Amino acid sequence: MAEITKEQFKVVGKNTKTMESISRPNIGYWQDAWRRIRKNKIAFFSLCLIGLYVLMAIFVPMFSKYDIATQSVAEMNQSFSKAHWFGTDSLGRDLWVRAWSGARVSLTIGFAASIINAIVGSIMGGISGFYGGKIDMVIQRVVDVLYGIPSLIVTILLMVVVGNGVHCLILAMCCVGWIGGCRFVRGEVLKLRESDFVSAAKILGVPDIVIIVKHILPNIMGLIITNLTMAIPGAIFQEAFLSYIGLGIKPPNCSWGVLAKDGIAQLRIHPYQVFVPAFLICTTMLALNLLGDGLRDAFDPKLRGTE
Amino acid sequence: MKKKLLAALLATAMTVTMFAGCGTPGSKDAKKDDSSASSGKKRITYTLREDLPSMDPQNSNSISCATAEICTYAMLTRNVEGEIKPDAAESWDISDDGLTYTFHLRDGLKWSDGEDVKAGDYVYGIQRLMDPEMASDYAFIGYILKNGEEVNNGSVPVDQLGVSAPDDKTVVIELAHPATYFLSMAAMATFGPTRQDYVEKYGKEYAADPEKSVYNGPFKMTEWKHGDEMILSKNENYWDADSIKLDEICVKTVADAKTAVAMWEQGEVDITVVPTEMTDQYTENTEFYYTGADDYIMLNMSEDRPLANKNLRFALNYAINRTEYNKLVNNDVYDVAQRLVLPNVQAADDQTYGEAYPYTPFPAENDNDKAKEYLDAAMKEMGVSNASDIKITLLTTDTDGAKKQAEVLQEQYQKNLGITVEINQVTYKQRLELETKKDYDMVVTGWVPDYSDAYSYLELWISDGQYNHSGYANAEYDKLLKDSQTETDAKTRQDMLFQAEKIFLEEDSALVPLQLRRDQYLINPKISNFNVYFVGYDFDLVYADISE
Amino acid sequence: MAKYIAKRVALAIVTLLVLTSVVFVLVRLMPGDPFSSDKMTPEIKANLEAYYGLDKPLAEQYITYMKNVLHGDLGYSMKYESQTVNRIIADSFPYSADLGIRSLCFALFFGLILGIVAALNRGKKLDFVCILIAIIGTSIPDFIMGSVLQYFFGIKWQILPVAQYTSFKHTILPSIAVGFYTLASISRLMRSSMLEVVSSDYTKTARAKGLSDFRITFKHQIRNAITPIITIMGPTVASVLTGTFVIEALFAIPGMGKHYVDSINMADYTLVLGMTIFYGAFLIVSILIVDILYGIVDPRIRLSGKKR
Repeated sequence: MAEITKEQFKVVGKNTKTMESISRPNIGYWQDAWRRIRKNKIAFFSLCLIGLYVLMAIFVPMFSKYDIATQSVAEMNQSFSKAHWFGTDSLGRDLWVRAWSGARVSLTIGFAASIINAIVGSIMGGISGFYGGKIDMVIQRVVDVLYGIPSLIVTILLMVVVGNGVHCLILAMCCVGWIGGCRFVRGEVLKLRESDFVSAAKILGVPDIVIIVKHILPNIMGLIITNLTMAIPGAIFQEAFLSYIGLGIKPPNCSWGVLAKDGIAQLRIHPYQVFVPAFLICTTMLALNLLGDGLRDAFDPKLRGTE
Repeated sequence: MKKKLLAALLATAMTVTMFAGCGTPGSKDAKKDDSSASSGKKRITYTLREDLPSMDPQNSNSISCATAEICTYAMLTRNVEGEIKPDAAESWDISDDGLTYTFHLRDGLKWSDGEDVKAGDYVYGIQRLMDPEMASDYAFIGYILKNGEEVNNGSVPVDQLGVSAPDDKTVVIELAHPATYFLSMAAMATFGPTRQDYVEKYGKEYAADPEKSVYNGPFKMTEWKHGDEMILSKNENYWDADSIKLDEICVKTVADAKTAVAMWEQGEVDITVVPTEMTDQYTENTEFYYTGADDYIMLNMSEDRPLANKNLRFALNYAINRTEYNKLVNNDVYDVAQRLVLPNVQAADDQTYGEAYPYTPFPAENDNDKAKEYLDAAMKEMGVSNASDIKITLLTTDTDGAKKQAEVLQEQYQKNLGITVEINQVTYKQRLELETKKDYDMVVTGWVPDYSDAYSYLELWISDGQYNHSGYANAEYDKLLKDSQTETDAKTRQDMLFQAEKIFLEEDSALVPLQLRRDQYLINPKISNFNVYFVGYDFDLVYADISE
Repeated sequence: MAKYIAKRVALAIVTLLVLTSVVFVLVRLMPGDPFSSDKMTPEIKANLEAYYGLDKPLAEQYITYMKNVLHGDLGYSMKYESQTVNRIIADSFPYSADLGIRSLCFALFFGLILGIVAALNRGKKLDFVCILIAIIGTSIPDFIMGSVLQYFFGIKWQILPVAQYTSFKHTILPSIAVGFYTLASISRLMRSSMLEVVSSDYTKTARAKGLSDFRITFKHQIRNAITPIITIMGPTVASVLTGTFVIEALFAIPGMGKHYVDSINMADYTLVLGMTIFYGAFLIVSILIVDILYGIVDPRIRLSGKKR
């Protein structure tokens, strides 16, 4: 039996550097969300579909041999064919290129309007909720009044001022669109304002701006992003409604709403003309909604342990 | 799990019964309809896209109002497919200078409430039309009367209007200038009789409901659910009630034309208009009728505008393929127009204007060589070297067809001429404002005539005419039109009007004719005596009949 | 509570007044005017402006209008010349409200069931089916939805009437078309709120007590999960009950939806203002009712109600 002597050991001392380090890789908030989104097959597939649509919207109109405006009496109302993958419309224009050119407009409006709305809404809601009191009171009354103004009047007035087109529609949607985000962020901030960690920060004398940026924003970021994906369909819908009543982008440009409206007129004779835009709108909405659901799960700290 | 299913089923059943239990706002009337059908009432139902704004004859400001009001009022004359027949007036005399019309009313004319129809009722109606305080938006139709315009703008009191009733049976109307077409205007509801006591009793709400007005025509309004339907029932007090076959006319508001067609297919309505996209689907029980509307591109010829250049305007007229345009925009339901005046209007000697003066100044299909020739000349004059530097805005509205029209025109002009056409799509009201301000280059618009005469189309382009938003000014044209107003020989007058049309198109190319509108009606085959006319009303159901 | 309601009502009235004033100015800024038409002449327009008092200075018009509004008089429509705005609303609102209530019943009933069933079967096939139905509902624009329903049920299969609004049968298609979107959002909201409740402590307690699944779901979970639904009901009720332009036009229903769009397109000043006031008041009242209801359903809210 070998003898164990004291000499065989040596004192290494405390390694203060590594003793409190985290052995597994540090997963941040965003990384974790991304990891969970990738795990969620449906949400990931939705994300890919939206990506695909965006790419198609960018490249199809660039490389197609057809043009969105070229008309042809000989090719009126043709169904799907090798030459025209999505057929042609009542003016003999190629629907494949029009569909993707419409995607540009619809997706731009959808994304731009909802992102602006989310930003403006969050700022207004944040201020309203965090400071409360008179500021809150004023903002909430402004919101009430804005809610009641018919959006059609706003759109028509903006059309007069800035001319019709994508920018006009985005602006028009932003005039009232931020209200939803504002209400929702205000509610969340009201809840968080009373939370212990905010109180602690306040007592420690942390300035308001830091509290908002460091403590409150990360807590509601997930919800804002989720809400954003859910708001995009709303904006695309509103554009479709405006196209339905004839206010929209400048012809011969088109959006999915314009195509759907033109297609509806042909529903009983050439149903494919409404099927194409309807299919694109529905799948986009579906993907965005599923992605939104996935994001909500991904960002929700309560659901961390459930997988 | 079973329990859950059971609960769900129970709840479903409850909801369904609750749905079924509560009646709809219109359900009572549905029952009444059934009973009327079983009692064998003769009834024709037709659809409108929009409810009538008013049933006040002096506020009758659209063809659809007129279509209903020729049923509820007996005017001095009656227009049956363009033929002027006596109605409330049994006969009339026209003075030699063509300025004074004396109408003799029938005996025993009665209002639907049993009161006698007096000549004074007609005088009151016409005075009311012109009264500035009444502010009728169709008062311009009465500018043909002596002092008509002066009364309407308030410079002369109402009692000096050229209309009077020497006794209860005679109406005397004096005109500002001779007009052979006045007899057809006398058949318009705007010149219809009105009862002063009702107007005074109900004030602004006169004719807002069936009981707030009184009728002397073949039918009387018995029900009006605003926005939904109006029912006109036979008026037994009408002098010619024996010739009226129908018991009821029902006017339904159906905003969506496709819906209306589907309702026709299921027998819920008897007469409706087919949207042009669907025309190929309907080859039976269908008729095409001219609506009298004549569509064209109005050009802004103001000095600082590109279209002040005459050669450019000619280029526009030669570069357009009207046949193709018509096919793309209207599915060939409309007719190609190549001139300004609707050929169907009345000319002298019982001929139509088209028969008397056949004329095609511009080709139906594009003539690119000629267009280029004119374009080159225009570019030289304008000092432009590149055709695409010529920028023209095309004003259009948000209605269904307007966008398509604009897209086709833009494409054709850009392709055939190489100029740049920009579409400015605005609301209808803004379009009118921009037209008035002359802030446009081209706009697709049209004209629906109020009387069957070439003058109706030509008067628009008089230099200081109130509807002339094109900046067109030609002294010779003005003179021809002015002289035609006092010319008493019908043939010479028509010659002058044709001369004016030629100047307008051939010399000045002042407008681009596009299409003559036709409506395709679906008509229940059981209906007989369905009359259609292109001026004043869409169709005339007064003497129509429907078999069982 | 009474004090709270009184304060809310006072605020609502002020909001409405401001809203009316803002819209009063905005409609005047719109291009065109109520009387312009293809055949309008300046002289006749002047007569019409005098008839409606539009020739007076704007401030005077405003004071007159506000005075009338405070007396409940919304004036005469400028397009439907012999009808008052009050009358137009009174004629058309019953149709829109009827359609709205039916579609809400439809949406609430099926929306809640779908949401609950989905939550109770989380992750299973049934959940997926329910979510899919809900999401499809929010994915189709109403004019496509309505047209397609009308085409298949009304025209192709002829099971239901194509249009109009005269009997129960006539109400089915438009109710579904209007309600489907609401149904979808209710079911999604219900699902997520149920999911929260399912993992809550009191559910565990109830289960530990040995209560049946049925009792837990109906007695505990649904009652607690339903509160978020009530919050969104305020704006939803207001917008659904005051009419939908597209569906009403498609099914030939003489409701209010048409007037919202047409009055603005036709620059019918009085009708636009009347519609705005009516909708604004309806919205504010329904949100108020919802807030009060919320307090009744969820006892925790009452405290915060007082604090406000």
